[in-house]
Amino acid sequence: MGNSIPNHIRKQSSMEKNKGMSDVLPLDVIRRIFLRLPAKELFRLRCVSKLWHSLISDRDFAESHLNHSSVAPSHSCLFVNFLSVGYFVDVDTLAFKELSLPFSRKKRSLDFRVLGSCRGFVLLNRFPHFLIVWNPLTGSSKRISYSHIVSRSKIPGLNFHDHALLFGFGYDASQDDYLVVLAWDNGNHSQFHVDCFSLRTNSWISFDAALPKPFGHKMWESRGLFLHGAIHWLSCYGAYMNAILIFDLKEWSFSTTSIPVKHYNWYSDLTLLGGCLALFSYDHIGKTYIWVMKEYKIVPLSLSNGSDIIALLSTTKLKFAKYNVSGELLQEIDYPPLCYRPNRNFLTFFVYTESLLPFPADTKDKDKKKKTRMNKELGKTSFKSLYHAIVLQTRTGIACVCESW
Amino acid sequence: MGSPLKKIMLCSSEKEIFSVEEQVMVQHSVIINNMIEDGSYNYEESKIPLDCVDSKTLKKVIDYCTYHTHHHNDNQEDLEAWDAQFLNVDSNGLYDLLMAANYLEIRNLLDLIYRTIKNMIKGKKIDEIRRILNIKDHGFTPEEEEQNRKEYPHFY
Repeated sequence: MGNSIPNHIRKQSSMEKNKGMSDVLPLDVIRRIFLRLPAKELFRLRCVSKLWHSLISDRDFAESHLNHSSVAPSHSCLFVNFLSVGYFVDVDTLAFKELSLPFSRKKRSLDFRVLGSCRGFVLLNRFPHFLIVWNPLTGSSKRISYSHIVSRSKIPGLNFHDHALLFGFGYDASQDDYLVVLAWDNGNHSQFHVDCFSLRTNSWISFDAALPKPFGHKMWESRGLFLHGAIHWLSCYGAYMNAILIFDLKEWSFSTTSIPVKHYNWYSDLTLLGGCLALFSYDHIGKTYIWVMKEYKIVPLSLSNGSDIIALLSTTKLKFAKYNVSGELLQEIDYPPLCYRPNRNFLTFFVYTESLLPFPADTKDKDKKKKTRMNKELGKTSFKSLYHAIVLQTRTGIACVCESW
Repeated sequence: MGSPLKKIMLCSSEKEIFSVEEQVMVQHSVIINNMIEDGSYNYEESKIPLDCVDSKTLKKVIDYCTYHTHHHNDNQEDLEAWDAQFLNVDSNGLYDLLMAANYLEIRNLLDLIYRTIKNMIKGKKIDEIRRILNIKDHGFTPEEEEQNRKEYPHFY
């Protein structure tokens, strides 16, 4: 290197009088500023100019914003009540806002549920017709018909209330694809199928992955939680004691892992807390327990500034509570009573990380190697899980009824 | 790393020479640190030409680096107050500082400027952002603009 700095940058000592700052700032600088803003704010900023619109709508930018943004990812909660009215719960303020779901409510359905979330998308079930994958921030949505499965079924009027055992929604980074996983029963409680819908190829793929045996109703919670390339379902009281069922989205295989905690209670489920897999449960007197998996396989504990939300259901009213990763109760709020009626528990919610991501590019994937991945042996993962039990203070007046889960 | 007493020469676009403690620039500018480390700077003869940085901006950049070198132990609040005062400039001034910090790779100053610009636009209405950043031609067709305003009236 010589004595001088190579002067490869055009001299730009002052902005030209007629030009605004955004016209002369290098694109890279604008991108770096955008990476410091939350997704919600950026969605709004698309309206500033065509240039900003194209920068923010760019797939690669959305990807780096999700992964490398210097702001803590903003979490939101989508909540659908028993009248199929959707609410958006701001995790920072716990404020409720009604939002329009991506389907027509002309034909009133009282059975609309939130089944999962992944990278800014949520999976909704409009029983009995279709599933919807929806990015609530950008508004883009995609319907997934059940007809493929219904046509395979031997029973007339296949009913996913009774016949769907597992729902999962996740992302396979190796294929840049979103997958909806559905395990269902062909009517005789002994023949089970697993189907995967690939958003990239826009098609269902049937495969017979080795399911844990025995397998059947009420053995696992039906809604799975996506984390680290896999979907996780918690065992219900029954055949499996204290276990998690894991579906690896890259390998397309199931495995189970035991968890060293006794979680059976009035209600328990998996959630994310500070970016970690956590299990929470309530007993009949309203005492809340939270266990946080401090180490997931080899991924170190990651702490996010954003804390996650856990809904507490009560027979008389519904509360939302927010905890941090140490299990401290940060904030709680009563759900507006008009929206909630006791004993009508057709309500579901899911916390999702807001993203600007579009659906995968509509390319026909000719790679069929996934289909060869069937009949994998059911593995038993042996990863070291460090659990950390936190017993929370008794919260009076909170008992949980959550049969609809 | 050079000794703190050594001085280096910086030359602005107007060919004005600024003599700065080496340590001050080495600590903050990646580019200058690299030049000193690889021995390409000659203390007797060299002047570092900064053809894209004018004297006014260079003086500010040197002020920033000097202050942060000598006050790095100050409490965070005081430093933030000083930074806020430092960046109390018009948008042309802010732009010049950004380009200079980008050129010299002064990461904490860049960070501060990014943060400042972010705060200039965060939470503001679209019309207001256009005014602040002096965006006269937003590039949307009248139909697109009308569609956006119709769809997201609360943004404007």
